[in-house]
Amino acid sequence: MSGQTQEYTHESKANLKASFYATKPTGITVFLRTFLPWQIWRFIRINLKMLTIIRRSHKGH
Amino acid sequence: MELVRARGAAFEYVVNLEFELRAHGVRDKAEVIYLSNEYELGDFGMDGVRMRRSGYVTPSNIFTESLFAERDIDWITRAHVKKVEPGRAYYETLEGEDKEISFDMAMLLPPFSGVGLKAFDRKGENITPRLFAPNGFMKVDADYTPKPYEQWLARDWPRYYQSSAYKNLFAAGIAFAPPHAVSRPRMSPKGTPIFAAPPRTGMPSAMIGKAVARSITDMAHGSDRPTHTASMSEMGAACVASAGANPFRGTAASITVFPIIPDYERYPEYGRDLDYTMGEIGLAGHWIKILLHHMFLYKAHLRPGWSLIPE
Repeated sequence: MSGQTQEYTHESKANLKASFYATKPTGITVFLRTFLPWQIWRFIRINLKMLTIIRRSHKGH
Repeated sequence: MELVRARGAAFEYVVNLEFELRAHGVRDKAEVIYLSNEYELGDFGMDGVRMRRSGYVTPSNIFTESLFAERDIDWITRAHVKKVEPGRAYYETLEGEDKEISFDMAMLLPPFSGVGLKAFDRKGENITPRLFAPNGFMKVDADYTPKPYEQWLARDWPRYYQSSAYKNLFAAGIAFAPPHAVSRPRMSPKGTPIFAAPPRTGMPSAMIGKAVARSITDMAHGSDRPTHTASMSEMGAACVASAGANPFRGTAASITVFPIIPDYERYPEYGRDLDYTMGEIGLAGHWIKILLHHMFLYKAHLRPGWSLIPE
């Protein structure tokens, strides 16, 4: 993450950037993004969701 | 280093660039900036996406801003790039201010437009305005009546993609003229339109192409009108935007929406079905991207069972 190791100056103050006001992920969220067992489950789940949407989009055509 | 862009595929470009800079240990030497005509990050020309997440229905700008903030990518929205010179870009903001930004390297996406075909009838008369919209895209069976944003409807969007002037002309995928944008149109005090154009590439293009091909086949067999529909207000889309390519450390944003064009008559609250509208970032998305890549190539080569692979 940015700015955490930088030396403080008035110009580099964290709350001067738009990103300061954005939602940021916690450590566990970032960890889960590349945690293999969780991602294997998400791979199956997202694929099924996408297949459902494709099937629904083809209905009545 | 700064990066100037429009939106869509460049979203992938900017986050992948950041990923590679980090992977090569030179991230601290680069400043990465994303400049867009979107009103909010995550608009994507679809008026944003609302999805259920952690007990809230959350707009997509929250997720996009979060990803950029996490990657230390700065952003400038509500901006229209007017001119680019070596090392410098000039843009106008929605407030009407003229600003400039310097860069060592930039990637700029120009606005969508048609190829600029000219059409003439048998007598040699120019009938281009009858066939094409001013932006060069072909007019089809959409409702092109100019009307304010509040009166836009999902059913304004075309279903058959047949030219309104000639029955034997079709414009599939990116070639058809949208009846209007999806995102709210906004203008600067100087009259410059500053908002994102609707997306039509990827899954919708493939589904439209298929419907048009089937209609043409049926018409060749005697039908007097197109027989298959593929309205973007009746179909969903699945999109996987890479956020770093690596089989174990990479991530991608998997996004689904239904329908693509918000339909506030069917879904009054959010315009879309939240059961089929979702988004998440993770390694699984990167694997899906790889899977789709190989499936599309398999299909393109017409290998055994290719027709079973969906668009």
